[in-house]
Amino acid sequence: MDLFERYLASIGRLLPGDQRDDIIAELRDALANRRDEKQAETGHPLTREETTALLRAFGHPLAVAGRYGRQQYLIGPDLYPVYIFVLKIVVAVIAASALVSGIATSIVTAGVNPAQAEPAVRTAITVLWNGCFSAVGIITVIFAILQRRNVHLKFLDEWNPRDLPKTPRRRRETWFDHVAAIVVQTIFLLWWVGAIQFGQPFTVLKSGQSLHLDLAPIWQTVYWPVVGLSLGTILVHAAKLTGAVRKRLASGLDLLLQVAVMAVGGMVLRAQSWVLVTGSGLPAKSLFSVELGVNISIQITLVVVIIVAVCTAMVDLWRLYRPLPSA
Amino acid sequence: MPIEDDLYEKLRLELRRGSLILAVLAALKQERYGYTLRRVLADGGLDIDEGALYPMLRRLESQGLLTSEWREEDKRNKRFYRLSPDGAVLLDQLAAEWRAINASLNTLL
Repeated sequence: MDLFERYLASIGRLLPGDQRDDIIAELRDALANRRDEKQAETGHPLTREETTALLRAFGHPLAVAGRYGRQQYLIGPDLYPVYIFVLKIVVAVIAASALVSGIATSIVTAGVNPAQAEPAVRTAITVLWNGCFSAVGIITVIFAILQRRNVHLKFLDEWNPRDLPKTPRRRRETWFDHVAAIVVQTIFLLWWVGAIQFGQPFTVLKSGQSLHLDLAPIWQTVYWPVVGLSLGTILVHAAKLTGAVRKRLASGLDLLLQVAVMAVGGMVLRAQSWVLVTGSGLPAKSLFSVELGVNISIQITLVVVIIVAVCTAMVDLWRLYRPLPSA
Repeated sequence: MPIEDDLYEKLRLELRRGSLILAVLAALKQERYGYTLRRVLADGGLDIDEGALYPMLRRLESQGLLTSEWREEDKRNKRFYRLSPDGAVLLDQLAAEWRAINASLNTLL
């Protein structure tokens, strides 16, 4: 079988059966005309190399056969924006589910010991990986079917601009926000360094029974970092209040504060426990339960604080590096 | 900023794609087979790849704009295409649209 016939047979295998013979006959004639044209140019029968070059120029069998297909794309330009929009939402939901699953696993398996984070990370990655693969596959198949059936999404035509969501007005920080932050941070700092006291965390339950809550050693370790962070927060808000910093610099300072929160939060989170519970007139089992409950609450709070700091830092980073609007 | 060659080529092909259908319909007011049709278009400055031409002819025929028949010529079986009556009506409409676009663009360019 010469190269022409091998080439045509390769195309034929990729064509729909009811049209195959017809299309191949036409392509055979087209190739023969090309060959005649080339032979007239060169004045001799085509060599094997010239025939190869001619067929290469005609196109790969997959490409040639593909052009006879009824559908030239999996998802067309009308459906593609909707497809991408749906994908983004679903992947975001899966990512959030992975995060929640990870935190839940952390609490269930590691208890108050965040050092044992491996099962939580594994669970989160599994949920993210499997969820994304399945979701992308299923959504792609659904949109490919819609495309193949030529389904027209009515909502793209029958929409009303009045139904569009209102643009949320970004709340700007006011002088009150800065003053409130400075006051709260100052009170916290004074309490932290021992200048003021709010009374001992001591609860009398009933006659002969009491509970004492004491901070675990980790808080001593992060004493100075917390002082620094608190002072930094006060200074940044003071600078903003007096208008001493421009917007971009303010975003940069906010970003630094959030990074500091993440660092200090990470140090604290790595500790075994954060509060020690002692008491009198109570069984050890009850004291242990109370301590466990308080520490789990603190662990969840710390995780949330770090997540919020990460999100805020990302927003600050975006504000810092976004292109300035042209004048 | 210099315009990249591949961007120019992409936009040029996009610009030509729609007009090629009009050219094919116009050229098939007279009966032709694929090879001679391609030569006529090439001689008129509209080169078209065979890999695109033949599927286009088949699509236009399935849309009822062309008719075709197999006949022997030069000891070879060839498929001859011709504009159908529906195709002739559509060609007139498309030609009018083309002239209108052309006139509009001429005022802008």
